[in-house]
Amino acid sequence: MIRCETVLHSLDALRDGTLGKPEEEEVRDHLTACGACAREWEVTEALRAAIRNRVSAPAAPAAFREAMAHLLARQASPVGWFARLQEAFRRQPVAAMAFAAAMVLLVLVPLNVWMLSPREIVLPLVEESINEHIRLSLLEAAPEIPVAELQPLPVRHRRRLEFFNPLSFPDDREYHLVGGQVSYLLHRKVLAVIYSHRPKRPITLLVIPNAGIRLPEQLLSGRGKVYWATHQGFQMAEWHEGPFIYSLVSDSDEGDLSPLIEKLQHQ
Amino acid sequence: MDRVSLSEEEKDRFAKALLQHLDALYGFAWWLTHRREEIEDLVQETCLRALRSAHQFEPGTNLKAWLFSILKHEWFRRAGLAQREVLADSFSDNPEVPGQEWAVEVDVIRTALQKDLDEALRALPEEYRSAVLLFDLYGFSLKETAEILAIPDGTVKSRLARGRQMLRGRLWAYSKVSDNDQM
Repeated sequence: MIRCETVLHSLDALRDGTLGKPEEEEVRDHLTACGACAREWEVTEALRAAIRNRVSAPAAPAAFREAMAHLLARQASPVGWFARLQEAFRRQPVAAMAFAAAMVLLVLVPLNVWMLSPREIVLPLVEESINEHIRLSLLEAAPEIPVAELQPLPVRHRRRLEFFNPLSFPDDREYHLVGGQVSYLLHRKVLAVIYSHRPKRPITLLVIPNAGIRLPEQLLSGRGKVYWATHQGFQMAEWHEGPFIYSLVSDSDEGDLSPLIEKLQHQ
Repeated sequence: MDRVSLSEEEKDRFAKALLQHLDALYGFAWWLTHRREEIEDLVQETCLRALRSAHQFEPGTNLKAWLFSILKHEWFRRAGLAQREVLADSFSDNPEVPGQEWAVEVDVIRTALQKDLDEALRALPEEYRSAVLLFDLYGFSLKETAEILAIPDGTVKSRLARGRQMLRGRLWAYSKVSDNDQM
């Protein structure tokens, strides 16, 4: 015969369904026969029902739920750069598009320069050199060269006298340097100077940083490796010299330019 | 799922499963502390710990019970409480229900107001309250309750018995105060 103390100790296991079959039957039989244990069962059942039906706790606030969903999603799937970009587009489309455009330019501009063939590089160089020559030739007064603007040039060019010496030939009456200035060509800061040659035959020399520009090796001819071209009625001569490309433009012919090239290459 | 780590897809699924138990976790934390910041902090830490340890969870077992055990452990850690055995007779200041009035008592319990039930539960020592809430309110099994509280099954049974006894005493006392107020 099972004791009341044992039955009372087994009631939660009976609720749980974890009593063995014979033990469960024994407890149930006892509850039928024992008024005190049956009352205990009934009171506890009433209490459990009251707790289940009337006790409650607040649910998670919506803002907290949303924050947790976001946090857990981020923790579960660490966001890669692409997903971050997508998220940025979603949150701040204007700023993100500006950033994306800058990234594209950052890639495409060098790629574009790299992909251009040497001839394609030379053509804009030729055209812009001619434009600069025309612009300088039309100026009434010879342009001055501001000292402060000579920073991109080698050390020997930083002071006016040092600069003029290698490009001017005081003893030479044919090629007289009259002036110059810093200009912009192919998105680069360049030095542009102008020589007086024969009357109304000015020659413009452009000294251009050669980063990203190549002169086609197969087209460089003669001593000093000069690239010659005639374009829109102008005679062009271009060659490498250290980190620069030198570009001469004139409506004189090749014979007028060659002595100057010789002087410039040996100064 | 005792693996070194889960794939992103598995973790994502696990995170979604966690969210299904957010209300229950929040409610249980509310019973442990009424301070909202503390509740949210406790639940958040519980979820993050669970996600980090997701590979240790055994599929097919009760995820909710596993989460509750993490929350309870975290609460003990924060509160600086040691998991301790509570002697059943260490609280003797609770009113007892006279044995011969059991039928009236059932009536008292069945008609008890929600606020009285809340107050009676809130007044219970934490160890008893947790056992009663987990088994009677949240419906965990004895074994799960024992695992959540990190105590033996037998201790759960004695805490349940003692906790309910105290609850009954308080509800009985509330009903007597209410009767006196009406007279």
